[in-house]
Amino acid sequence: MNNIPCLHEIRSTIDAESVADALCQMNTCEEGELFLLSKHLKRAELEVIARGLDIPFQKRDRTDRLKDKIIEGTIGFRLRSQAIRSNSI
Amino acid sequence: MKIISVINYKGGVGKTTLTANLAGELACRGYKVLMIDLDPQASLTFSFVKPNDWRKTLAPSKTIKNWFTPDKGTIKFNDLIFEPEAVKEHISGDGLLHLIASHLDLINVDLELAAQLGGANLRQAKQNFITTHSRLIEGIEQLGKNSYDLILIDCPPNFNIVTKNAIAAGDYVLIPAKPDYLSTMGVDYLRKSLDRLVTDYNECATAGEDTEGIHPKVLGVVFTMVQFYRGVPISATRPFIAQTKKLQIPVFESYIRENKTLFADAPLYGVPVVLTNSSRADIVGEIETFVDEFEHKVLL
Repeated sequence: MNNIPCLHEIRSTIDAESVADALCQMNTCEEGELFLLSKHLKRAELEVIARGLDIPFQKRDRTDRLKDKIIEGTIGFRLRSQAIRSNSI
Repeated sequence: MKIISVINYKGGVGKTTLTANLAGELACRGYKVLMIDLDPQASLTFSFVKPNDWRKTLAPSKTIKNWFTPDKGTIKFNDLIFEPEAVKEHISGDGLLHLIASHLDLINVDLELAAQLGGANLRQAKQNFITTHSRLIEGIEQLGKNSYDLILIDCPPNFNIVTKNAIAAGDYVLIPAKPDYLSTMGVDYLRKSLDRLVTDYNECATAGEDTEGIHPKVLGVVFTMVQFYRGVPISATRPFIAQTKKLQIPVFESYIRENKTLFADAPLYGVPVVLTNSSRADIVGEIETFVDEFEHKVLL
């Protein structure tokens, strides 16, 4: 049986959409890491955020790895693109 | 006549398969299509011509390499064009599918072209830049504006002078990409190089009296070799598709599916999958949907 909580089951503790929206506005990965840290999110809540963003993860992924994936999917990919397209290289 | 360069910095993204099937399907729909193979690997060429026939009839004097060599003054661009035999019977009506073949030695041409850059002064250097990067423009101009509806240029996965010739000659750049980390990074490299070429070329063009600037547009990224599960791309690939869309690059809605069974040996028979495999309506249908989208964006 799938024991991952559904969005409506943990809505009382976290608004996954607003967390994702906030991350999408940030311009450094460090900013994102601090933000997630400040939210004191449980693994199940991180899973809901990842699922909402359509970011794949595995059950064996550690919490830190899950956070990295969320940050990469919201902030990291933009920074990567900017770095490659920057005129300084 | 519309000119499209098909390119990604990253190799192995299904670029040639895309070009061959797009060209084949459009010819089948009645368009006059010329393919130009600029990749020294000559994969597009060998998708339509057997290597032995290429060696005997094309390699000595009838490939795109001949256009880029210093004695090109003695040949006409039109003389390099040929009509692949095997695919001919699949095209009826007004459609045409022609090819200018590549040459394995095309890889050395870039060094010769690079030697022609520079100059005694800035004005001369700018003129040489334009001359060196406009070889393909000159050739295509020789064909006349109504000779083809579409020219598809299959570029190598680099941004050397030969590739820049294709970009400079083109109205659009079509970017095939696998939905993975390295292939989508190739899209960013390409956009950067594209912007730089346009800036450099147009800056040099303003120094010449008769030289027009270039304005190639990114037609879009088309995701290739896509693996599906339950009718959608597998979860590991979806973030790369979504991220590319968020980077404000045009992205085609249709995908080209991974299918080794169909695509692996199609070049051996000289006919693109889309024209032969009516038994796999799902795969052929997806290619046709992509061609519909392309046709709508470029030709209609």
